[in-house]
Amino acid sequence: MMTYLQMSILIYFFVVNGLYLLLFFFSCAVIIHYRSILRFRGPSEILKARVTPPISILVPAYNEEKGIVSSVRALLGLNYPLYEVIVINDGSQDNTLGVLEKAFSLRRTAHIYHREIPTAKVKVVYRSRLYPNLWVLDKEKEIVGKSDPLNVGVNFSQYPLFCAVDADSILEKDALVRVVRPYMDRFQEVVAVGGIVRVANGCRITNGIVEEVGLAKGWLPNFQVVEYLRAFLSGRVAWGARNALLVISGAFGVFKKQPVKDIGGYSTETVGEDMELVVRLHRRLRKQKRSYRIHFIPDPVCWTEVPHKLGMLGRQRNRWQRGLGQVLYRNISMFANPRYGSIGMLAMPYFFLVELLSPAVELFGYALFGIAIYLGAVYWEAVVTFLILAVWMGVFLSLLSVLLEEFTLHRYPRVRSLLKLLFCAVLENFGYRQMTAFFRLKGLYDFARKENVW
Amino acid sequence: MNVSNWPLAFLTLSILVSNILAVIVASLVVILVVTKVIGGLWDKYKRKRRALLMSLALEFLRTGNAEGKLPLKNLGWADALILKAILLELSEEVSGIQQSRATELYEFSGIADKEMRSLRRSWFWWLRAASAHDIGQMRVKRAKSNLIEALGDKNIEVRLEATWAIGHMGFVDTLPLVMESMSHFFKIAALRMDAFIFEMGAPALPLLLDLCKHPEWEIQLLAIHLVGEFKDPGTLEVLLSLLDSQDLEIRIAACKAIGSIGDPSGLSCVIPCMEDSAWQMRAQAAKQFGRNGFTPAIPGLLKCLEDLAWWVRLNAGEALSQMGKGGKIALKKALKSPDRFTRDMASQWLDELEATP
Repeated sequence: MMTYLQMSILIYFFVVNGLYLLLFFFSCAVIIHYRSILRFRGPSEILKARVTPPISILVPAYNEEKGIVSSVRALLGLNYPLYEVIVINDGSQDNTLGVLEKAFSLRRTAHIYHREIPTAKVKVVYRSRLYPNLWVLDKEKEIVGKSDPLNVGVNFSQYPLFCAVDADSILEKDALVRVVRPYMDRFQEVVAVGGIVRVANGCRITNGIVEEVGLAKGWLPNFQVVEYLRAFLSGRVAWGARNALLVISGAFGVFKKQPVKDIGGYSTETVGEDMELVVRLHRRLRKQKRSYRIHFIPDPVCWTEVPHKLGMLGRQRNRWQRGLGQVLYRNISMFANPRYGSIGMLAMPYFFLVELLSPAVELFGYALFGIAIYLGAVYWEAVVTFLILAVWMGVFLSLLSVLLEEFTLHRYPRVRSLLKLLFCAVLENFGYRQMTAFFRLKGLYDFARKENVW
Repeated sequence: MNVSNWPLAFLTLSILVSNILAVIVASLVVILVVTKVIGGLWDKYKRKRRALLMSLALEFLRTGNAEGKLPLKNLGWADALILKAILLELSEEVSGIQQSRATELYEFSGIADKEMRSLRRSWFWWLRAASAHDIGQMRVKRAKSNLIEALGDKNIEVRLEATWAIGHMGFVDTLPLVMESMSHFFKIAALRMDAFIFEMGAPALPLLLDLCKHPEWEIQLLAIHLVGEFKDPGTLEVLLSLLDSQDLEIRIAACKAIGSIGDPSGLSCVIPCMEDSAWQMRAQAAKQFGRNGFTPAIPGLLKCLEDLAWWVRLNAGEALSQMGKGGKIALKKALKSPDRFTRDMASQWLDELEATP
């Protein structure tokens, strides 16, 4: 029994790391291709074009009194020909609405809220006297989470594309111009485009604009920088290129409105509403046998503050893991189902076996080898070698991601930042990774207990 | 098989894999460092040589003296690269005779031949695309056949650059070929074609009007959009005939194009579209009337305020709010409508009007 368990762990280890490597090398090719395209089609051309589709930016806000004004101001200053910003005040307990009213000289309008997707009641629609493209919707809070305010925004938006962003996220000035490029190529086919999300901790931010990219002083945010690089640059890029992307981060993604409306908008029954929406889009469009694309662009940057305390990080990872579990469970019929093509046969099994189960397998593996050594069922030399290889593999993948960033996108201009990142890529494998695995395992446990706390 | 039975093999395998990984990472770090060092050296060299080559090029552009260009023939690859960048830069700044001299220098230095070879033969699409762009920018007219060939390239970027180059040089006769190669990429094609058509000017119009009746749907759609961009009332006859198309997309595109032209005679013919069977068409017609402040459409727009489709009501209300006094009166009249939805929409747009200074 012990032997089979040990063998299973080893096979799992080699398969998972093999997949990571495969995804990484595939991503390299995609990013290099993307960079080459940018040489010929810069943002300025899209900015000037009369055919560039207008975008509605949706900003759900709950108790965001402190940062909402600078966030909205930054959004109003984006480089894009035609867009509107819709802030949805989701029944905030603080003075979010008050500060918005004051800063942007909001006025009550008689605007009609057309409820195509069922949502909570919208009490008042405000419009800015200073910026006609700024709307603020004051809604009642009925459900915890971002789904309901996002659905309100989808209902209210007037343009064919919408961009969902977090109230505390910062978009780069050209982010929209870059992320819209796949729509310019094939508007009929593209239904969603995700962009890379980066860690804002340590960056110099003035009036909602990232002035200088840097790293935080503490280790925790910097480990997450490496983690984000690995997840976005080597994971999502590759899945996006195979049209099998299952997640577009809630912090930044541009969707075509009609297909989202057709599937009833964001689900209010899961804590992973961003992933759930994308999976449901895949499901519906594949069922209808429609030719469609869901893209991921490695360049348009959205900056977000990541947890700098362990407790916050733990809650965040727990929520992500529960969300993942819920989405996979709700769409279990797609798992290994050839009817859904690469989604059913590749992405779903990968997310189930690697993303969902990996914390359990990893921690179980540590325990198992410990027991095996204790019982004398395995040579300790073999276990130590395996552990060294496991850590070295993690270090290798993290280093590759950092180097890929440096070679292609080069967003950290200072040599010191690069060296620090490389060091973090090594260090995160000693303690941080195991700790996040534990948080995720706890999330998995909570999912099994059907805990649905945000 | 038991893990404990093969520790040696596993140990060897692990060490081997670890070493391979270490070598890869070390190589990447070395490559990174080498790239940075080479980049620095190249920048230094470029700064030094650029000053000299720039002065020679500028001298030739100014005087046209045949002897002045002699030192620029058969340059080494590094200098040729620097000279190419200089000429591309200058070609954007100069015009007339100096422009022709820049092209002459581009040909004389042998760069044009290299670019044409690269456009024809390179394995890498980015090199072909860059060549197409540079040839277009430098107006190397003898490369026309190469550019036409590039329209059939399997890579969209190469086709886009070739399109731009052809437009930049004003080869009107190639328009149908260009449209066929670009039509599947509607928006990006329209984006590039706008510039293309702008470069070609009026001679392109008859060809575009023919393409409005092309059997391929996407080409037709693109042609209608481009005809609209010309804003020539002379094209209305063709566009109006398309309002009867069986295809909704074509009808909408024609309606938009007529709206872009904004001629009252054309807009009058769009009035019946407010009773089209498709709500998208009714909404689009309302939008175009608003955009042009076309007051004869007010009665129809008032009717649209009662439409079952929300978007039609919204666009009709917005259109009325853009029509000045007449529109405002109509909206006030709609406030007395027995239909609640009509009243709501009218009050929404009246509120907007009140708030707008």
